[in-house]
Amino acid sequence: MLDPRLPGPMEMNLTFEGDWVQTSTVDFGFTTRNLENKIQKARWDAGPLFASKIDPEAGFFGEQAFVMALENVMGITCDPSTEFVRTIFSELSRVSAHLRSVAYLSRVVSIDTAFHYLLREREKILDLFELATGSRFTCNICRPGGMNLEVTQGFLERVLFFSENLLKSLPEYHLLLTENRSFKKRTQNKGVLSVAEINELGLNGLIPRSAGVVSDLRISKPYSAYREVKPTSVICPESICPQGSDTYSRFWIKMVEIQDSLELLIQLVEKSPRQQEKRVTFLQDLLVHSGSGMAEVETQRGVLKVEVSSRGESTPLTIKINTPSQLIAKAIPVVLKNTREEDLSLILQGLDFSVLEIDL
Amino acid sequence: MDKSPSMSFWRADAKKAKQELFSSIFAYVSSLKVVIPYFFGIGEHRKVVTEQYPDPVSSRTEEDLPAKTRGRLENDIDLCTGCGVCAERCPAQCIQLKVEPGPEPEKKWVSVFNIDLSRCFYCGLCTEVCEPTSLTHIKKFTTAEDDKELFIAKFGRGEITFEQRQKWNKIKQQEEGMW
Amino acid sequence: MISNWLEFTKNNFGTAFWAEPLTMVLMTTALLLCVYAPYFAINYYVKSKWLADAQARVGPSRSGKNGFLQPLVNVLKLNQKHGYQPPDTTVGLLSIVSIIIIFSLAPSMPLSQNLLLIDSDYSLLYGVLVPILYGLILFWIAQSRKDYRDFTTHMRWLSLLFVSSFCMLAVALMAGINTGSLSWVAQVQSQEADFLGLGIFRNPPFGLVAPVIYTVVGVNLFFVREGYLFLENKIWSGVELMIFNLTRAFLETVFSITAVGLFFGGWNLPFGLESIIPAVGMVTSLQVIWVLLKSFLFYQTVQLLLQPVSKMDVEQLLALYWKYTVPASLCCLLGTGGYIWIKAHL
Repeated sequence: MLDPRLPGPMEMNLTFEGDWVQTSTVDFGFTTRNLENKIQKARWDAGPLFASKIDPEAGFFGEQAFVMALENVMGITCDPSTEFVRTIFSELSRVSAHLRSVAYLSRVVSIDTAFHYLLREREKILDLFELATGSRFTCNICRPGGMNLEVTQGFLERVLFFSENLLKSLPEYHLLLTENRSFKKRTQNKGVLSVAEINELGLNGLIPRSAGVVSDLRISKPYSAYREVKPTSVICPESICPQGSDTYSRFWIKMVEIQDSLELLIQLVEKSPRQQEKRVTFLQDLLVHSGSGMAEVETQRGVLKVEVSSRGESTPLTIKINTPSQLIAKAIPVVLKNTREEDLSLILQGLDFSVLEIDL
Repeated sequence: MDKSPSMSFWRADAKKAKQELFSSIFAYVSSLKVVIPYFFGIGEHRKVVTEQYPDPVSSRTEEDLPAKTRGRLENDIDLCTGCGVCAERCPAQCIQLKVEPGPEPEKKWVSVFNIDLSRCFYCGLCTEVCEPTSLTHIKKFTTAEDDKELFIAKFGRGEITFEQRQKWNKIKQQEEGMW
Repeated sequence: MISNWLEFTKNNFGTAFWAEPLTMVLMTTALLLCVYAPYFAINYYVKSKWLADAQARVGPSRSGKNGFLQPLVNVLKLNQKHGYQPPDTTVGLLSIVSIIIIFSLAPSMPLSQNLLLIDSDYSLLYGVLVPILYGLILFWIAQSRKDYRDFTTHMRWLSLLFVSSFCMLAVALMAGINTGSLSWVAQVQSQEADFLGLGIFRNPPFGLVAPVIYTVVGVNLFFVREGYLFLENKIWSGVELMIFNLTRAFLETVFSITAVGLFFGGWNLPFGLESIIPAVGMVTSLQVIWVLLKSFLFYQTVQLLLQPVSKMDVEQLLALYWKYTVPASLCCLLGTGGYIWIKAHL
């Protein structure tokens, strides 16, 4: 269960024929933190806090989704300047999570130099988070109606500086990984998912995009500041993987999305209004009238959906969280059919699912 | 299931093999181009990144952390009004508060204010709701201890004894008598 | 030096059957402690510092000044680390295994004209018997765990050791390194001068195959990724990890020394310069240093060149080994032996 080949504590049962995997079953639940229960029993104040821990690698998406659902219930909207700040944070989280998953993939393949370089870039984003909010991973700054944050001109300049610098050094990583023949040979045609299988499993987000299918919530149902600044629709061309989606195409699309997110960040910083509304805090005890609301957010893997219902008191009634990793977990037995045993760790890392997100 | 990953190279025809050889050499050399400048430290982003904590020369200290860093909690008991909102709102229930009437009628006497640092997860909710801003996060982040009792940080002024209360009552009567 | 020792034993102990093997063992031990161990430690230390330099970080820096005691610290730490241990195994025997491997490969090292250990038929026994012994020990350990998966996994692990040892021997036999090789091989061939200081193209046709097999198999050991390894899906204990790391690193250094002997002139200077600068060639005690220096440079260059390349898992290597390279190396070995016998007797 605690095997360094696996991306987290999970149980796998595999049957082999020689070196080839025939069937596989996966079992999760070893790292349950009971987040939904915790949110239900605590006050509304603790909601964004626990929601930011849904996926600790990119915590901002969780709290953004929760607070958007809460705003839906309360019937309030966030003002435009704060929407820009929220989108800046969400794009920074996206870049940070993509950098992390590419670094761990290169570690599995044992190109350790790329692992160290990419995590060094990720540290700069985490330093930015710490500067603005006080915490590196789970920031706990989203509030219904705004954010508990005062964004200064200096912070925006630092975001711009970081994005421009990383854009300049991205070609280095393309030389080291994307165009590296040994990396390509190691990752191509491993963990193949055809378009038909993707549609059958109902996957959304990164994996359909790596197979050439358009699936981006930021474009189809824009929320927050994506209504003003549109991201480009990135899909993987067929030349990269004609059979659908394999490990290399999932990696390729992450590299392109990093570039796209950085360009989007530059646009956001330039367009964001300089005057920001006063920050919103939980100073007053939050009482939400009864009703229910739902919000969907595009995380780095797929769609995170949070449904909240209230009974008019200071604690919520029910909360339901659907994470993208839960869908990917269903795809694991399909992906692992007819693969070699030594490719297991590579495929599982390349699928990029978070065990903590599945167990919640 | 006779597919073997290593045989496909030998089955390719000679021209394709030659192309693959040259492309692999080229790709290899170009990726070496990335790594070799790091030996000479050319450029700002190629310097060594390691911080040898706790050596203060090569690493950052607590003072170098940003101002908003959420480290340990600290309560300035002189500013604290004893409203108890922080203890109510804490999701980990790590604050214990006991309030008594003090010598001055407007201000409460916070006799016990204990924070269990082993339960706190540095979310920042208690500092957000503190109106007199007496409860703050300081930059200190080392909290490892050997004894479980050392985790409890005590900021209270201490329980008021019967003698102390009698003394205050006496002073109060004297002051009222003066007026 | 060795001939003096052999004479000494012959004179004092007659023709006792244990005289020559005892000498061999003593010489190998002295070689290991005084030459190999420091060289191996320096290699490992410089490699970790270079890797760290390329990865924008500081390498070992805490144990000793600038971390030069790191190899020793690693060995001690892993030796004391307790892990899952099956009830019937003894830790002491596991520790000896790596020493057995080192003993098996040490005789074939081309260090210098006087530090030859392969100049005896016993070295052939070392090369063949020791992998069998090691394999049996591994098999016994795995059996005592009572939860091993299947026979193929063991065969793969055995094949790793078989192949490395066979290749070393095959290379030593076929290439006829400037060591004089085994005594019965030396009778057949003549000592040829190095071609541009390169020791290749000896004893064709099998001599041509030796570099190929060496390149395919031996260099693969450089490509094995560092990391956790598994035997029957269980994480190894500290001692096993230490054994694996020691063995792997030792095999790497051994291959680099052999590469220098094969391709870079061994203890001679390149381009036949030893005839122009006789002083270097004549001082036989310096030959060891020269060989070790060259192999050090070779090893570090290979480690540098491996930076941006993806390396294989041990399981992929093993899949390659037991299907292709074990039969190939066996054929080469038997072929060379046959060729030499035919040439000698016909």
